Amino acid sequence: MTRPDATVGCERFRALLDSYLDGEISRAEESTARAHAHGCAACAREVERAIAARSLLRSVAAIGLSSGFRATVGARVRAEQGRRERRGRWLRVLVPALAPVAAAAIAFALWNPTSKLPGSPSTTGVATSAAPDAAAGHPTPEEPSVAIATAPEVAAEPSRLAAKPHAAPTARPVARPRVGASRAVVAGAPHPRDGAPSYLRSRGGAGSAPVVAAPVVTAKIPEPDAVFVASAGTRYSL
Amino acid sequence: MGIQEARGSGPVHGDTGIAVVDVVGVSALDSAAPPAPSRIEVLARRAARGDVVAFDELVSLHETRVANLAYRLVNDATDAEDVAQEAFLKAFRSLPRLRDKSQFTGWMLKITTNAARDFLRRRGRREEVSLDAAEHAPAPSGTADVVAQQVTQERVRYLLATMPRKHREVLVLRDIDGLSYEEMADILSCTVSSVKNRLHRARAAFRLRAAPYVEEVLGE
Repeated sequence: MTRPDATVGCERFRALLDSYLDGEISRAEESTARAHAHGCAACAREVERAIAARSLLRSVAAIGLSSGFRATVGARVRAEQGRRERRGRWLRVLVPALAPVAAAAIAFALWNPTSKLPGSPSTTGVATSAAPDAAAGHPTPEEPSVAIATAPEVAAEPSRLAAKPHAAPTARPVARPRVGASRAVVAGAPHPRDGAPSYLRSRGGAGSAPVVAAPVVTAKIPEPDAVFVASAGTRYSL
Repeated sequence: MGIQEARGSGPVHGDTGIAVVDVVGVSALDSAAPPAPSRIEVLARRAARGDVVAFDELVSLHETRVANLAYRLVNDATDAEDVAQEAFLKAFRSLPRLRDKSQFTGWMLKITTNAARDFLRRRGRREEVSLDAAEHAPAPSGTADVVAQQVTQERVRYLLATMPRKHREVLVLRDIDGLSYEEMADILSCTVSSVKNRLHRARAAFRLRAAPYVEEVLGE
């Protein structure tokens, strides 16, 4: 709100002009502004110009909507409503159906003792001692194809071998013991890549024979300690 | 301040008691008793529950105003229809989230303004509206007075279209649509003070540019 002023100069009047025409000034200001406009021809002309400019703006032609406008909007709204109803129907079916499944999954995750969170006491305590095993590529509980088939007792001690669950992805357990075993069996012999022609290696010749013998070695892994010793020995023999 | 607040508790000049909100004929000082829901409010409530027939009626009540607002902001009749369609569709989607259904009209104008802004942004016409629209204007026809009037309208439309977007918005909303400062602040997501300042500058700029046409009008 502007301060009432008994005498309004031209500059002040023109600053108030829009508010004056909008009826946004106080009655006191309005009366003084009106008095100024009556006494000042230039400001009176300015008032006329402002009013004419506003009427020009209002005179801007309006558009006529096309005949199909309402029908188009209606069709789009109905399509939207149809999608909304279909979505609602699916939700009404899916939510009751999936709720027990979700609840069961949550309950299983909470109950399952093998699903350990990183940093839990049962895993961190063994982490450093079991690290060489994992680093050497030996089986862990996350490698069921080897651990269960060759050494059931290994799987019976999940807390000791779960130290590095990320060390050996499940897709690689077979390959790693085979490589390590082949080196153990042929320790001191030339490396398969040394000397043997490529066509022999590819046909199962001298270079590829140790790889075939790999399951025998992994089958001799009875328990975690033995695994550690075997892996250490293998590593040092190289 | 929202539109609802502006209507429900409009500012009053302390020494005069004059409400300054009312510009479009809606009193800022409503009576204390809660008014009966307006027809638009009833329709909006029904439409929010998925009643497409009620929404059709809302469209028929607002289509002219919405389309013309869009037209004055994007300056092309075909584009304005597209913008208006988008605005109505957005309104239908968002209507359940509108808390006070009695504010449907102001809310609809806000959606339209935003849809026009989005349209202009997509088209890369950030500040300047395409000037092609002036060339596509229908040729004036009729008596000499009517022709002169149409020519003036086209010139003014061109002037308006070539003004900066922020100036154009406030001029359209206030001087053509007749919205209050509070409603404009709500639509433009700014303060009332900012609206007043912007409007003052926009009017001064328009008066300057439209001076020749204003003199024509005054000379008649």
